Amino acid sequence: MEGKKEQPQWLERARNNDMSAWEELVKENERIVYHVAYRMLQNEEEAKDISQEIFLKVYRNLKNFDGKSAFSTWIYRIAVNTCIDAIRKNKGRQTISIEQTIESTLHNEMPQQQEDTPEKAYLTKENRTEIVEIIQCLSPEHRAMLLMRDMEDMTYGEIAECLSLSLGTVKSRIARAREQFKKEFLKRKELLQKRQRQKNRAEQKGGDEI
Amino acid sequence: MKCENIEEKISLYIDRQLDWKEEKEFINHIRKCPHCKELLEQTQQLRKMLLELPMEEMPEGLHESILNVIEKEVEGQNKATAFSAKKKKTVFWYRYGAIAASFLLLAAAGNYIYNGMEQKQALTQQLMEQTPEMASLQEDSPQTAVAPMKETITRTTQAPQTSKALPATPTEETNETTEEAENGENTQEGNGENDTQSQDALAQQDSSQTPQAASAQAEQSSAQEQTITMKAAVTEENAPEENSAEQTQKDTKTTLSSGSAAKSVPINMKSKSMKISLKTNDISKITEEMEKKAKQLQGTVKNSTETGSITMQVPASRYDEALSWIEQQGETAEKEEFVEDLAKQYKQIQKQAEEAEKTEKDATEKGQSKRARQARTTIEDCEAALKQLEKAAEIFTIEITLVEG
Repeated sequence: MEGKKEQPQWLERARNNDMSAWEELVKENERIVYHVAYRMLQNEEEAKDISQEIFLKVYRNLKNFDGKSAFSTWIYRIAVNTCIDAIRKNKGRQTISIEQTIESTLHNEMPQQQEDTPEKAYLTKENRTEIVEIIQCLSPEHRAMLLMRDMEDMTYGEIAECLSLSLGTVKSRIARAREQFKKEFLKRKELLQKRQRQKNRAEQKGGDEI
Repeated sequence: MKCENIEEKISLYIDRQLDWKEEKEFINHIRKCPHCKELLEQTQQLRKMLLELPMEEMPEGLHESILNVIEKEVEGQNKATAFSAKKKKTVFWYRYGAIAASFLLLAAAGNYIYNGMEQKQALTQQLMEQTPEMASLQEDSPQTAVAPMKETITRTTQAPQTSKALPATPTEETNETTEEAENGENTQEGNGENDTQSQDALAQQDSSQTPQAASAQAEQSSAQEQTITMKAAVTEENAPEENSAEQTQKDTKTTLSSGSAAKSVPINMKSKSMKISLKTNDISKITEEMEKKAKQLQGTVKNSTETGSITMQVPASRYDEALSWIEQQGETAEKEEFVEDLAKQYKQIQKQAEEAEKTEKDATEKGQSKRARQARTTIEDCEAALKQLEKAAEIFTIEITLVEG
């Protein structure tokens, strides 16, 4: 039988609308909540809005928290689920194609190191913005899996508990999320290389003419 | 082992989720298959990249905004449990915030016009021998526009209250009278010495007219009376040198209060709003149902994340239907209805519009383009405010707070 876990001392006071307890609750959890929101939505403004929404849900559901899991697990679950819902609601706007992301990258600059060390260097030097763009191409469920397993390094058990899923489901979802991420990543890499070759040819042609 | 489902196996292998037998098979396969080996390396590198992503910095002010949201929610919950008269005022404030804003605009625009008049009075007193043409030229100088700003606050608070009872909306028949009255005003404005004459002339015109139809008669004569009493008020104001803007307002207010009521104001022009608190077991389901119901009633629904309440707006004719449906959705914990008579406000704005129309006409005739433009702005503001009131009378609001239980 599942017993109750030790809970923060401010919990009961927060339930009684004690604002000083809420101050502590927010202070202890805001960083992880914002972190989840930002990584799921990949946009600062939206992450801020969603962070507020998450705490609002925490407030409204605090009386339903039964204490069987750690408070941090409970709030994390609310955060992830709220973000998944938010992405689903704005599906057309949130999920973008890899072609769109590549256009914006090409518009800015080509990776400098690509010519010298094609694959490995590209993988290790891939900057954060590009990862962010790839993540935006994924479904909210896949984003959540990558966030929890590959960014947060949570165990399969923790993920299963957090999202109320079976271990088998967690295993297959993580595998699919990684596969999808890799697929988008390679697609992006291939497109970038193709563009780079075109650019090189054009430059060479221009040089010959001169 | 084949390359089938290799991505899942790679994922499980990386996370040490394969049992020893599966792991052994997997390693053997990777040794023999360069393609799968490459796939494994890619996945490992991507995971490393994701793990190395730095943690984002908390944006400034987020802590405060989160606490603000919670604080508002706490207040909202308190509101749901205890409706107070103070809260009621707050609801009205929100409800008619837009209308109040229109009044402010209106008063500010009116301020310019009144100041134009003030300056005219001052000029009349200082330059008694100056011709009306000179006075009107003076009026269009930049000083007219700049000077009034200091008094804006006084006027904005007073302007909407100046008329308790108001004249009828101008009709074709009354236009003639108004025009005549305006001619009188012109004379008076142009030269202070003619005040008495113009008033007398107007009084004669008033008594000599014989209205054709009963309703038109009442309307016409009331408009005439109104105009004349206004003239009298302005005439009185012009006499003493120390006349201030505030005095002008007060005098006009006193005189106008004896005028007649407007006829064109919609009868029973009211706005209704209901604040209701419902106990329910399934908040999300009811929220969905409310959206459907609102559509069915040709209304709208808004969910406020800040207060946790649902605001349903429905056409006035469907208000009762909406309310009885809402009450069936759960146990009514508390409810309070607010009814406001909009007819009075409507009349006041109509009155402002009429006055502005007169001023516009007068200014156009005199070629005072600036004054005419100011009057036009006031007319447009009035029209917008009237539309807002009409809308408030057509669409009623129900604010629902759902409480679990």
